[in-house]
Amino acid sequence: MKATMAIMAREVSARRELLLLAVAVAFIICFLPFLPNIETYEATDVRTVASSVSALALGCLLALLLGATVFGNDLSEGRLGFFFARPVSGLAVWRGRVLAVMTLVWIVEIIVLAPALYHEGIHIFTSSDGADWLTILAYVIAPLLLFLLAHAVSILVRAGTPWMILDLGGAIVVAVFVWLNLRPVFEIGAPIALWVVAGALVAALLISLAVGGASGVAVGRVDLRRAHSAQSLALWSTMAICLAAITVYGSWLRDFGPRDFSDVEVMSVATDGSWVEAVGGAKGRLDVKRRYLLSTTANRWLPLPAQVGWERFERVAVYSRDGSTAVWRGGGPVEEPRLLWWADLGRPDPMARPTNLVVSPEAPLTLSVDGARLAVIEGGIVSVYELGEERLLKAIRLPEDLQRAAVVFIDPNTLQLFARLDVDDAESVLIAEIEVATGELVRIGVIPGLGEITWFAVDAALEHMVVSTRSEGDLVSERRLHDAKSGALIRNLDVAGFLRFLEDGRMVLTSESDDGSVTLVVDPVEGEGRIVHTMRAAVGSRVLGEVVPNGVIVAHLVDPSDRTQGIRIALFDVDTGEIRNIGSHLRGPVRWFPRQNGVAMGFFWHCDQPAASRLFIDQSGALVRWDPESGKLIHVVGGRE
Amino acid sequence: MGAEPVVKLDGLTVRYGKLIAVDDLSLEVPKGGVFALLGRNGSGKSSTVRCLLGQQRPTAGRSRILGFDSWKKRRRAMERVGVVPENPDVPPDTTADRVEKFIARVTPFWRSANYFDRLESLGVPRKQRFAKLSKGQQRQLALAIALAGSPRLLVLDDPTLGLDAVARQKLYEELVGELADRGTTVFLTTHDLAGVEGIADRVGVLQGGSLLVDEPLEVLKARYCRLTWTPTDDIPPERIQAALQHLGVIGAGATEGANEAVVEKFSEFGFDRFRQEAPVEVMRVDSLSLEEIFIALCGTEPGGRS
Repeated sequence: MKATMAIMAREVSARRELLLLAVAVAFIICFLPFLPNIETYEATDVRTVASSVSALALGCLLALLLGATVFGNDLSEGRLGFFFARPVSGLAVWRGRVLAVMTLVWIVEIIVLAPALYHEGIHIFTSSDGADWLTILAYVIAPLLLFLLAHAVSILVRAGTPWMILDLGGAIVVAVFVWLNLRPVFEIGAPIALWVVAGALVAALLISLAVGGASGVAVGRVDLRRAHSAQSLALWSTMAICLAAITVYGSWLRDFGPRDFSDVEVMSVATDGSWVEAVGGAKGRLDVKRRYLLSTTANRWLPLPAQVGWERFERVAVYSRDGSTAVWRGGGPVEEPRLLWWADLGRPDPMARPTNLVVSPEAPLTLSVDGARLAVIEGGIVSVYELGEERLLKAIRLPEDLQRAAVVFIDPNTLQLFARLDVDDAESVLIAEIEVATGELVRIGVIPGLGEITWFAVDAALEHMVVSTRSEGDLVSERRLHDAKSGALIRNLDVAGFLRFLEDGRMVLTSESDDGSVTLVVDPVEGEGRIVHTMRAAVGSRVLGEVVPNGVIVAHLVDPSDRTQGIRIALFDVDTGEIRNIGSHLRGPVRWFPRQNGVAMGFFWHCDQPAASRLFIDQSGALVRWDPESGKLIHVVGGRE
Repeated sequence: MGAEPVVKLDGLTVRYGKLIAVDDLSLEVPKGGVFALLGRNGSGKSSTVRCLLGQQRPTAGRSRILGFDSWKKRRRAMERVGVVPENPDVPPDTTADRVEKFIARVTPFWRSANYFDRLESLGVPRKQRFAKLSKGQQRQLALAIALAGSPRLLVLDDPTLGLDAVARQKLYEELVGELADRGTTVFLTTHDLAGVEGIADRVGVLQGGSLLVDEPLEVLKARYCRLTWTPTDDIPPERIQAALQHLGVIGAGATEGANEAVVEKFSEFGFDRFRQEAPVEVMRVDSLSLEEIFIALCGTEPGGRS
């Protein structure tokens, strides 16, 4: 260390004129605001900006120049022997000179930053969140990286040995590895992991360049050609080790299964059956989330692309009504068309299978009740495929006014189409039926002049539909019940709370009073038999879906004054009003996301999601399901700790 | 067992690709001696010196200084070694004073007084940048640095290069004086054969990376002689040529009124046999200068002897 410090002191002393240069630059910056054309700006702003930019620019420029010359010139001119004729190690020579150069560069940066520091103080290194590490690293690390890079390139160019081939090859391989390591983390949309991996790659570059440079000096000593060979060998072997470690770490970050989930989000739930689409993170994996199609009753899962759009919380899978089939878009660039995948969930051991179909990210997908057929609306054309055979059955071009549409299979050969149409700032819904075999489209109904449609829902039998609309400037939406075929208005619904169709076609409408009581109306839709229940429940009560025939889940806070206690859930019989506790201290019901049939249609969902209402997230973040047979909550994945 | 030699090269080989710069070189320099390694340009002297100083890793073999492997234990080895390089490599932007500040911190046996006295006696300015010094002053500064570290071994790589005759003489006189005072071992490479003849007590000659000669200078000079005899018609030239083989003839020729031969194995016994077998009238037996021996050994062609 004594030798290192001695060399460092000598080198700093030899280049002390650089400090005078920095003082001169700082001096000029102080007088910048008085220059013509600049005097109109705020003097402190001018000095702060000028000194911040100049400090970084000068630091980087000096690092580049010194990196290219400090060792390179001495090696070329045979002057490095001066140090190697002394009892000092090659490493001390390297360390001493690098420390000297970097000390000089950092002091130069501080001197040039002095005007900014005088006006802004330490705030130039802070942001609203605390220390601005990116700025600090830019001043500290960027010059160091440039110095080491310039040194390596300088030795490479001056020596011009065949090791240059290794250098060029190594640079290409490193570029490929950087791409291979960053791309997957970028695609899964994990910014923290992306920063960590990118930071690790920069650190790897720094370490490799430092080791390569040190080895070049320590092993090559006064021989430029040998310095180059030693540098290349050490640089690229260190880089290989670092890249291998980063690649392993990156793979570990990304590759984990549902069993590793520590927290779970449910994105979609098959209407029937046990399959859900779950997204979860795992312990130590930073903000990386993986997405799986998994069975809540059996130990089976299929991987899904982690991120499918710019929005993280977006569902991927689309299910058939009977829950036997799922289709989804594969991974790829966010706005590019993707390959379509599907799985037969009815098989004991389902497998993800690619199709030969490529669909755009926004194209609405609809499966027939049994999952045998798939309808895709894309470019104003409804294409119907035989999914198993990947065969196009029919492509039906939609009329101009029906192109913002969603379709639902009535039966394998008939589609019902719902389309939105803007007329004079009011939206209408057009209803049509399409015969798949012939491609014939028949308009069967219309719901005219609705204002802005926020969502609409259709019952399982496609007989009734509720349309939620909002007039311009209104915060509260209106809901109307219509005939799902003709579009005829049945009546206005005077509730703003929970609304859902039961399996038997009836509707459940709820509203919450200020005193915490919940009024639940079971509406037969047509005819007599309206049932009204009033439940005394805690504030924040929510009525969820139909988990068993005529049974809905009611959830409310265990302790309204302490939300950390979680929720309590009960099974409510909509006919008798009987209520039965089934669990408590849960974090909440799963947040399933309704099928989004394209931006044009807004939210549209065909029938209820009874299976979703049986799923909850417990206090540990685990996904649990309520089992109607045993009446117990059963752990599925995640949480545990 | 004898004392550990100060310098020991053992099978030293240096290759640059297919070119063999130094080929299996082995030699030893005992304590207190002055060893002069001679050779033409490109003979491998500089590579040998770099390996000796631990500045270059040999392709094969090894070199030791004061018992330390000069590649692996260079730092220890260099503690008591002074070096005057072929081209003075003191940083051009530095002064003699600043050099002293740095070297004093890293050299354990450094004597500042010795250094400054030497600079003063030689008139080397202490505050002037190295690049501004004359060539002679640069060499004097390099020598002052080398000697102020109380070296047990002084390695001089062509130290008189670029110096005039007076400066060369002065340098050698100082060296002899220092050596007498301290018993320092000197390892010297030079092209100044006349100068080194007065101070070297052992000589090695490198040719194409191989060591042609490694022996005491006195022995070398005793072996190499030039015979001059009067031509006669009585004795055929073939007989004279055959008789000269006992003396290791390496070259022969004729001048006006006399014949000459240079021999490399001169001895009293061999000379007697020559005279018995070829009873010519020998006019003179002259010793050769080191330069003449060197030319006889290395010749004018890259391949060596002419």
